Amino acid sequence: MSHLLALTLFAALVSPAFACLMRESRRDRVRFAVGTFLCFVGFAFVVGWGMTLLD
Amino acid sequence: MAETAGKSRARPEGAPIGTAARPLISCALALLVPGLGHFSLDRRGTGAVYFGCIGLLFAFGIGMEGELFPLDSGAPLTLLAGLAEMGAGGLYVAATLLGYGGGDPAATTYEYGYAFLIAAGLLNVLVALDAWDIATGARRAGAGPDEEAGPEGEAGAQGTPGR
Repeated sequence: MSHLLALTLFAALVSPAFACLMRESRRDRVRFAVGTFLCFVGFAFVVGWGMTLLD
Repeated sequence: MAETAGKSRARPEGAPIGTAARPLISCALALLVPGLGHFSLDRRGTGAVYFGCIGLLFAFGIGMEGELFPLDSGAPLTLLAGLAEMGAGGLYVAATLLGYGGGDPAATTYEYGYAFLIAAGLLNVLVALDAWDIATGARRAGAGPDEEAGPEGEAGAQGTPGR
């Protein structure tokens, strides 16, 4: 299993749970879950690229 | 005399039965099975999301050779990890009784596995606390369109954050 796949799987499972904890309506929950998922994956790419620059 | 004592303990007219115990029961159910606390509070859609997400996190953690850490007071970090994993409640007990969660440190996914297990446990604790808040009324009992709104839940259905 690659790092990216594990991260994506983790983000996909955690984001909906956080959305249900933090928001009330279905529309807000979907938006929050998608945003959280994209933040998880996006920051992984940003930090990954940052680390390659440090190398 | 006995009749007087019986009257003094009588439930006030119109008071719902078991209201005081409801938060405790919801919290205990949430710890027993992820999402069951919300299910008992008529938030079935939310409960199903919690059950799916936390259940899958835990199952993937076990499948990735993650370890259910023992409560070893000699190793503080292991103790904390074990306590976090115990937050999964019934899943933790079931996996332990069935002999899963031994972990294989040589496996490439070992670290991922226990990270998933720890996340599942901590997330379930948050879910149990959320069930407590809903049952006590600390959190607005609003429900999404897929759920039945409670008597005080109309404002929450309009999409305002509960906290």
